[in-house]
Amino acid sequence: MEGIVYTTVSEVSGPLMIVEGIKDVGYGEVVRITTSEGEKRLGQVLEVGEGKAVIQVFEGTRGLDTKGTSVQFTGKPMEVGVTTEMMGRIFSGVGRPIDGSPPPIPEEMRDVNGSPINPSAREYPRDPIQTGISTIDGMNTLVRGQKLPIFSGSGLPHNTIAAQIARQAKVRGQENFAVVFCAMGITAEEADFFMHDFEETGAIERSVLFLNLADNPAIERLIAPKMALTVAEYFAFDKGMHVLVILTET
Amino acid sequence: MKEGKIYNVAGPVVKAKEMRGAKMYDLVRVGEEGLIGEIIELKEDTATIQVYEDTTGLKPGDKVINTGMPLSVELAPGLITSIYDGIQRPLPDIMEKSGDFIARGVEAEAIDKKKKWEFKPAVKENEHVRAGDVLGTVQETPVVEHRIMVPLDIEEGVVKSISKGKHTVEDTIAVLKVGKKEVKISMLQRWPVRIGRPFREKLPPTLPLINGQRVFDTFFPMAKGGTAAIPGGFGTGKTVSQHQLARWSDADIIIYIGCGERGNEMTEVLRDFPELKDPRTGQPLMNRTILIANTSNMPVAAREASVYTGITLAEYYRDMGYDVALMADSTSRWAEALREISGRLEEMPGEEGYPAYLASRLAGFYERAGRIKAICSNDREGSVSIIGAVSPPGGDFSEPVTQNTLRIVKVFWALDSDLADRRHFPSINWLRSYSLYLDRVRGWWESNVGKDWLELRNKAMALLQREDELQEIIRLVGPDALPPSDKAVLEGARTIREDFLQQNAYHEIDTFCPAGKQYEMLRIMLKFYELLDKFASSGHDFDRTKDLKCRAAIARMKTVPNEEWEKRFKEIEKEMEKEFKELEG
Repeated sequence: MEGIVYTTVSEVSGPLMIVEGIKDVGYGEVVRITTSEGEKRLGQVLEVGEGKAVIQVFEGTRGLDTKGTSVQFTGKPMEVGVTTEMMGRIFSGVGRPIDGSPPPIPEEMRDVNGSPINPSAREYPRDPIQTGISTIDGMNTLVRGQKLPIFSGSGLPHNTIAAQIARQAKVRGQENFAVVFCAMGITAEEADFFMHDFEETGAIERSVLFLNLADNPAIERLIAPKMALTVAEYFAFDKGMHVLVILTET
Repeated sequence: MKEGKIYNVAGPVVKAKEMRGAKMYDLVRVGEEGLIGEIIELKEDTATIQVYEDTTGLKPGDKVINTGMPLSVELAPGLITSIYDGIQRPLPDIMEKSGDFIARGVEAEAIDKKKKWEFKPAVKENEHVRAGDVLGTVQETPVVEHRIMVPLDIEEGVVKSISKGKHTVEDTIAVLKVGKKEVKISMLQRWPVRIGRPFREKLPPTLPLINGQRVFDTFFPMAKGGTAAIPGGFGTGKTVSQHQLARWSDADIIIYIGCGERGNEMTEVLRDFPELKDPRTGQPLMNRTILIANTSNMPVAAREASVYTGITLAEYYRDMGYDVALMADSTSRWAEALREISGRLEEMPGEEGYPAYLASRLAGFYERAGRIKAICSNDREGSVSIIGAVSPPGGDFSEPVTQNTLRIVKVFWALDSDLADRRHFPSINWLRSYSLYLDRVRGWWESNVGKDWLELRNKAMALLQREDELQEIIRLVGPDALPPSDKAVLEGARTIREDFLQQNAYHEIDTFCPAGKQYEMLRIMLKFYELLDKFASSGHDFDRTKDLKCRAAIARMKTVPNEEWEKRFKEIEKEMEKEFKELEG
């Protein structure tokens, strides 16, 4: 029992789609789109006016038309189902499993946009994460609760480093450590490298992977890191784990 | 209260109709959750609203309630020690209500309405009072006495009754007879944030804001009621410099606005300030501080409002007769918030996408600084000084926010990462920084400290500039080829750089250097240079000066305890003169 199905698409342009004659649609809502061929896609309301909504389509607008495409508003912002069973799994940038197993049954749905942390609820970060890479640990220590950028360029082995950090990272003396790994716009080869590397080394046991491939629609890349961070927040703040989020790209 | 309806939502910008009668900058509550917003555009019966919270889920048709009041702050005892978000909601209260994350539409009282304060009347019954006159006082914290003033909209009146004792901020503490009416007065007042509080007269910024940091006080002085910019790149020690300014400046009240800062950096301030001891009173620094935090992930529209919230609180304490120092970190993030909202409004972008009114908004903010005579029947003076941090992307000072800021502010403290790398702290580049208050505060220094203060300061500056020129020659021909007089310049400048400009924030004594001590240090150092110069130009071998004992004594001047420096410095000076005489033989 989920909202009315509209077939009133009036315009499709680039990643955007305009639907008319709508009622009771909220800003930021997730939209289920069914093409004339029956293919299902996701989108999000970018702007909403009276009887008119601008929708950003996550999986590309190819094959959408202004005649047979149907649109259903879910009434909820983009959400991701979180559960401890996500550990050890590999997902696409919008959260569909791509490791061949069925989707885990979510314990709870979470808004991927999250909420800002109240600054007065924060603790000042002062404990390190050991990566086993001496130049990071010794000179530019990765601190729990902080951010560390890695600047790179084409031809530089940042993905190898990212995988190495994911493999080796640990919080000394603490068992409850997890890695949420999100790769945006990587090539199929790199995705293959990550999947194998994680599986071979056993790092997959304590990791959740989100892989957005270079040929996936660009707009999905907006969602992938938010998915990863929402899942990380769940493991960290609900399950009391120390979570290292690694975001990488080509 | 009038009610309208949403007809368009795009990010933080919401359009509503049936809003006829609403005024510009009125505060509205949007949607079922009552999100706080402000009207920023009116057209016929439609209003454009900027919403201070995340707008996800708002629908066309949702109600918009116009409160009919502009965005205002509450002014009453209890402000000091508070930690607010951009629109004066106390963050600890929000945490109690919605947990570690900030939920939407949370309501929290800016001022604790239940707490009782001991009110001491300062006027008697039947006394005649005017707007701004102090009715009584409340000891807000052990170091701040909160003065309850007659609201500015009451021109004059007669005190009919006034009640001493414990009251909440909403209790009536006095009744004034204004004309034929009787007006009840409580300790709580409101003031719209976008309107500067009026004053009787602006005074010239002739008093220095002494903060015990030698490079600031002596070389690039800040005036009470003045404006300064401090561009802080990454790793330049901006945070330590700001903490030092907050701790040691002779302002009575400190207001710190963390505007678009990273959450963890804000946490550092939130954690450090309550722990830092105010050196003059021994009390926690927090007892004279208000913190306003809008971190980089909090709603962008509230960031735009946060600096106005801060400056309005500052003006309120200024009107009580206090010297207030306001620090905004960082104004670049604030300008970026302006840019983001301007983009949503589809306004014509100016340079680098910033709105065309960037310059006037920046000016409008900085112009609210000043030393003033408050509106009241006696001569109460107060000041608001603004120290704004600017974070130019990529350290590029030619970008619009830095440029427009520099057009307005009178002091520029250029933090320099090269100096920081060389462990020169505070890493203020003396060649690029400037202060336009030198002539203004000269009078104070000359009558309170030393007659030739400006002369000494300029001599030292000239020496440092000469050193910089010589450095280029040294790069070509090496230091040995220099004539003795130039060697003396290098030595003199080195002394000033290392022993005067460098200051250790973590050293018990060096962390604060009184004005008199600063002056004497500089005087002795310049005398040392003169003696060196005289010695060198009279044909002596310059290398012989290397073994002078007074060098070490000069280097240690900064750590001479503040009680005994006058005596010790005289001895050092005498020994120095004696040593040079012996050297010349």
